Amino acid sequence: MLIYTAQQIVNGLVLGSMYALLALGMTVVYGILRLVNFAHGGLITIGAFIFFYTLSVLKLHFILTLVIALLLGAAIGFLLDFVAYRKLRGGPEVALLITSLGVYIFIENTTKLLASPQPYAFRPPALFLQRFALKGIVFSSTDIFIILSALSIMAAFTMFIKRSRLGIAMRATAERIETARLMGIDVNKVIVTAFMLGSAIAAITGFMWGAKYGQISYDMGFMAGVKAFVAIVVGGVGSIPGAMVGGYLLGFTETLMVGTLPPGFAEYRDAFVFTLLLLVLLLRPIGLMGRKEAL
Amino acid sequence: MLVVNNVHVAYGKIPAVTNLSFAVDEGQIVALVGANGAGKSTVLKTVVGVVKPLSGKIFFSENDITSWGPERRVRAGIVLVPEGRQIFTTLSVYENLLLGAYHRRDHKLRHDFEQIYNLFPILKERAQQTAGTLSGGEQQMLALGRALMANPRLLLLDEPSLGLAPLVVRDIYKTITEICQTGITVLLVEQNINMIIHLVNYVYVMQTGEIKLHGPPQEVFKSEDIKQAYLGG
Repeated sequence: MLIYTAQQIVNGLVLGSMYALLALGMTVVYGILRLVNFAHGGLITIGAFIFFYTLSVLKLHFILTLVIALLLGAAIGFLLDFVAYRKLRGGPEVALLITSLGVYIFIENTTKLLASPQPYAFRPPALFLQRFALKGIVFSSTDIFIILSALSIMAAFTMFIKRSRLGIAMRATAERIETARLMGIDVNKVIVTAFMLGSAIAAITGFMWGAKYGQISYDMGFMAGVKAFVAIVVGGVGSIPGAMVGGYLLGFTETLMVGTLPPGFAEYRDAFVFTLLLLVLLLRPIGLMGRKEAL
Repeated sequence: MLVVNNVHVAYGKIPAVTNLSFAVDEGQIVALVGANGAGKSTVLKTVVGVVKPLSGKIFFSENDITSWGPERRVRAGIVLVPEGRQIFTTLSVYENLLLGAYHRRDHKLRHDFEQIYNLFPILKERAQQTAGTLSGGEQQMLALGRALMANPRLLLLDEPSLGLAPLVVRDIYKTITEICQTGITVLLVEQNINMIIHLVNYVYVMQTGEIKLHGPPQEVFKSEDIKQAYLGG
């Protein structure tokens, strides 16, 4: 029983890491623009297919594919902001929200058109396929990669937002965008940076997702994006540590529910996540680490 | 130093400022006074560039800056301390001051931090504290300190006394006078005339978006009628 629980915790940690990474990118953009960027989920689809193409078709070295995916992810983040969102700034927030749904649908259908409606088998390099057993707990090198890289990305991001000039400017812009401009902060640059960082992180998450589940498909980003959004609400909308905590909480809830309830309930894994959302909204609407927004 | 020429500003269809012309000379303290809604804050926002005029021109040190965005104007030395202070409450006091100097690329920051801390010792004491935990007066000091970190040549102050106790207001104005003595030009908006009458070099009185009167403060405020008519007593 102890081993079984430990196993579920490892599984939850892996899933939670991916949710946390997605939620991180989404919450930074939300903090500044008050935009729930549903297109963010689409970035993991794009990231996964970039890895599939560079690894399985072009057969490039993993490090090289990683660099390409990061750069392309950031470039797509830039394009997304430039093409879809920039013109809408200052308009009603709902216009941005609807646009982000449109962008997601565009990404999904373009992927379907360019790849195929069938799922693809995703084969990470052999390095990621090793299995280990520690006192009965089974895990793969992919699991270790996901947990460790997620933790380092989050640590690096936290350092960036806490210590760097641009990071401090980003927090200031999130709090008062007009006053930030009065400081001489180029808020467009801050926003583009947020999109690029979030999208690059989402692209790597796409690799993690593919490596963990062994297959990728054009619609894989939808549920991932929705769950990242749930993680943000659970953790406290706009709070960066909250988004990460929310991501892990979601991962644990999902795997523990699936792991402890009778087998027939595994189908309802998404329902558990949304139940958690409902509970948080009922009991603590500002989320675990959220602040009440000043009006 | 600052010349505003025939400026019109409107929010949507509602005119806020009409046919506004005025000038601020280097080294002076100039006040814009008037009742609520007269358009004083709009004037400051237009000078700093967050509000775009429909027509008219703004010159700063002989340059036409009408088309410049606020980032560029800050770099040129026009810095606004906005109404209600608008400090970044979730950031530390130190980070607020650092952002004041965001556009600067020089290496005098450490020296300037020391100067601000000398001017407002309480800010040094609270440097690592979240700015939201400061009292109203301390927040106004932080807003002033943050603006000074930008190395302003023209400092715009939007009601620095708003919501502060009279003793604190006196301190703030004492500091503003000191700031002006270092060679920084000041344009300020104020409702509390008695506070500034002995302090400023020149006054513009605004009513419903227009300048109705201007001159040295002793002249402008010599009759009680004027105070009654334009400033509500």
